[in-house]
Amino acid sequence: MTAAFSAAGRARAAVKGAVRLLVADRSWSVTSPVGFVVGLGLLFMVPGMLVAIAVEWGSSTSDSEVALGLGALTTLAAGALLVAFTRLDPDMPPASVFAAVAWTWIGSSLFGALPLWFSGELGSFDNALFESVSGYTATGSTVLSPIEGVGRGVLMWRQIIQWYGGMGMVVLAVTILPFLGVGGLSLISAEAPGPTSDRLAPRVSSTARRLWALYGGITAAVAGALMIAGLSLYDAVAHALTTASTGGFSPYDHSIGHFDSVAVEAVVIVGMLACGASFTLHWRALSGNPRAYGQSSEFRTYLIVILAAAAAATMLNWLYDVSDFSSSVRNGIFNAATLGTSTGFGNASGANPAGDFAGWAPGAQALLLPLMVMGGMTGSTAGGLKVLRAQVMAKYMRVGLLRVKHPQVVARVKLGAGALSEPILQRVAGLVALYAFTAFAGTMVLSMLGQDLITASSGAISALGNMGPALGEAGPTSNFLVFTRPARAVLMALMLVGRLEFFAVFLVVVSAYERSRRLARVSLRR
Amino acid sequence: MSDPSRVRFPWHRSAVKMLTTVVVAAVSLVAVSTAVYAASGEVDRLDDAVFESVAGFTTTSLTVMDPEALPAWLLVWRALTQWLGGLGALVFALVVVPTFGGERRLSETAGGRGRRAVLARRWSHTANRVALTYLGFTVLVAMAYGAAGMGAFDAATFGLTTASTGGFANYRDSFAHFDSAAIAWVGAGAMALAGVSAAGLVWLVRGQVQALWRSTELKLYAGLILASTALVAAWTWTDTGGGADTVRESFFAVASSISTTGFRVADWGQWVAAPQTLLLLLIGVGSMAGSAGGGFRLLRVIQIFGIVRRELVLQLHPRAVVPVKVSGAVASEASLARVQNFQILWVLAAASGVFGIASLGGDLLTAVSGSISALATAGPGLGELSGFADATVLAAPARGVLIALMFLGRLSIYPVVVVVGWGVGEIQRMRLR
Repeated sequence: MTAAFSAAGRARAAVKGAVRLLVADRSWSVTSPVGFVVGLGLLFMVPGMLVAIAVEWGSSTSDSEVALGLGALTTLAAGALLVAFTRLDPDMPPASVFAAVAWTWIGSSLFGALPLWFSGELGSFDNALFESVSGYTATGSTVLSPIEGVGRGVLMWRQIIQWYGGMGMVVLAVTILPFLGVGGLSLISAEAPGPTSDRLAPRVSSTARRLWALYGGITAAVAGALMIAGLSLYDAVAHALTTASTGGFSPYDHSIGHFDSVAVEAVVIVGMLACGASFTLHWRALSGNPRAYGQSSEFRTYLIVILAAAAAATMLNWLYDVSDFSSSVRNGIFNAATLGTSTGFGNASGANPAGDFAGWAPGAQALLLPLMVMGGMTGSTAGGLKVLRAQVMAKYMRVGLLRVKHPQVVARVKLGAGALSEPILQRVAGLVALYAFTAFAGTMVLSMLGQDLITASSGAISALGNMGPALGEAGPTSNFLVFTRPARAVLMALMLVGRLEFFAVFLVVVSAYERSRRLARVSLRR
Repeated sequence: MSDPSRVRFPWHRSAVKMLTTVVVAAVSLVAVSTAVYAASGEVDRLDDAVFESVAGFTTTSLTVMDPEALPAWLLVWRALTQWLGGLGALVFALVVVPTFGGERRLSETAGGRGRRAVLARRWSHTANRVALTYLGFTVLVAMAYGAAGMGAFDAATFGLTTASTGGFANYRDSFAHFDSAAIAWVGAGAMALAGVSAAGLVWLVRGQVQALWRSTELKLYAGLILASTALVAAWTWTDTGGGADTVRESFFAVASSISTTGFRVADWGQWVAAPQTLLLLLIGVGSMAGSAGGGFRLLRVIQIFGIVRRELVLQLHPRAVVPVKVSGAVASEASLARVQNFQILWVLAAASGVFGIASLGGDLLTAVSGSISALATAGPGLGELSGFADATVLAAPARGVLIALMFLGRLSIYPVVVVVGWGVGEIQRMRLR
């Protein structure tokens, strides 16, 4: 008994020593906050990979355990090395915070692609990378065709990637970073430069933990509801993971349409709407203030816009004889919800062909584009411009019109209780302009690579907003293999840029440019 | 007048009155022209007469008439509406737009500041000089057309619709009718010049290279035309046979798009996707501020670029002071705010147009391209509107949406919105009484 005790004690001491070696005495390590954060991100992926291996092991149809295991080992090794040999900078400059955010996403996407590539189900590495980027950015565009033949473990890994990506690897890292004595609030604002920085708790670590609990809870609730609606455990979990992350991957070619069940669709709609809404709001409501929903003008706008789009699409499809009234209602609500939350599930199937919005009345399709641009609420897992920004811009526009009428007027943009300052308005307007420029550039490049205007523009908007399906040739029942290989590379870049809300990615480029200029200046002086 | 570069407007303190005047003037011109078309007996429906009038005064090339079936006097009237529309647009751009659209100072549009200003500091003198420049330019274009081999009647009418960036042609197949390389070159060059601001034209005539070189907008305009021509030619090289023909057709399409004129010499609906997207983008971006052309205007694009750049730099260096410069001069914060507002209005109008056209019977491609093209007062589009198609491919309700878009685009949206908002407010007030 004492021997066992002392053995356990010694083991604990050894582990403690190792941890101290890694965390405390880090004199041999290189100061590289970027490397450290990326390493942490990679280590976080390993448990998910283990789950995928377990699923693969339990399934009798395929055996890619070794491939998945190899991917997990590589990720573990790379993550451990990075964490061991780099350390954080006690006072991180903003530029390296941005760089850490961007590189975490890129690094995770690269290593997340490894299991997919090793399994051989996707062919070349660039396809695996596309799938992984589309996963981590919670986009949901796929190049798997057909999906049904692929092993369950690999498919489950795709879903798990999206689950990770949905909440944001940054939030994952934030749960660890505060323990290491670095304030991570700057990371949250780096991930989402929204006009508000709501905090649930004074400490970032507890904020992140609460977000985590909420995220896990919603996922579990959706999975449970899907099982009650008649899905198997595997199907329920797989779809719950990508509903909570507003990602939209599905292990079936027809996505949610595979089940052709109104009950399943209803559960998914509620789940998507919940996850496209602000998690801060959910937390407030759950901690005893259910009226928080009613008090949030963003939440009202979000629901009204989606409902209005659903109603208009329903009427147009019904008037133009695309489908009968009841199925117009069903498809209108489902697709407005899936695009308004940037999820990207499809509900089209052989039994319900009108779920494919590429075949809708043109007016209804035209409604979907603004919906795709707008995206979900701030502080949610959804992509796009965010409802709050659209609201701010609308108010800004009204103030602008007032200024035309009365040039000397003092008018301010009010939101909730307070007025927004001019710098914040400029920041929002700057992002909107950047969004528009990037969308136009993406459209131009995609169309240079052979796509027609509708496919190119909707493809660019869909990738930027982390939506998934687009219009034209890349509709919900289609596949992103319709884009050529270089075009898929462009789409990957757009997804990353959109997920990181532009600034993180562009700033990495800008700061690299400034650094190179400084270097050039120094060498000239010599 | 402490600042000599500041133009004093007679209606400076009452923007609503000024904007109402503009809107009422535009509506009454359309009404007169509608009456002319209706009296001519060449149109069967009143809405067609309205459409043709609006397309004329907004300098859009969309038509619902078969020009080859029209009597000569009506062709002249059509061309004249566009010419008057172009003149109105120039005066509007130099005198009215600065109050809400961009710089209040005329430094950009009028060229130079203070003593260097090309155009007069008083608005009435400005209007006179602009009108004279415009008239001279029109005569020159008509003479060039004549020299290139056009008949006198065609040269005069095409001169009117080229200088105004209008785009109405006397033939169903526009410039392809002449099948002449010389005429196409002249047309393309004239369209490219018509998209230059009035001040820029004066500099060109006076040979003030320094002033030309200082203007960021002019450099961007020229650069865009050259680069786009090269790209379009490269993309269509194999399909259209290559050689001088391809270069000419590309230049023509690019000049017609960026100046938002809308003449056609080749059917670009037949080309591959890339040049089509590029041309539509050029139509949307449009010409220089202070020209008769339409679109979002390059000046605003430059300002928005500056805003975006500043936001990026501020993220890295939060306490930096970063001015947004246009042609070497710092743009005022108020003007930047106005540009941002205009951007929202423009996108909102275009998106509403897409929804409107698509709901009323156009397919999505036609709706997207038609909405942008009408808002930019150009005309050519993609889908059903591509090639030598006229507006009759769309049903009458969808053409109603086009009328609204052309009107909004020509008046830079603001006046219409302000006047409508003011009208609604007045009605509410009346009801309260």
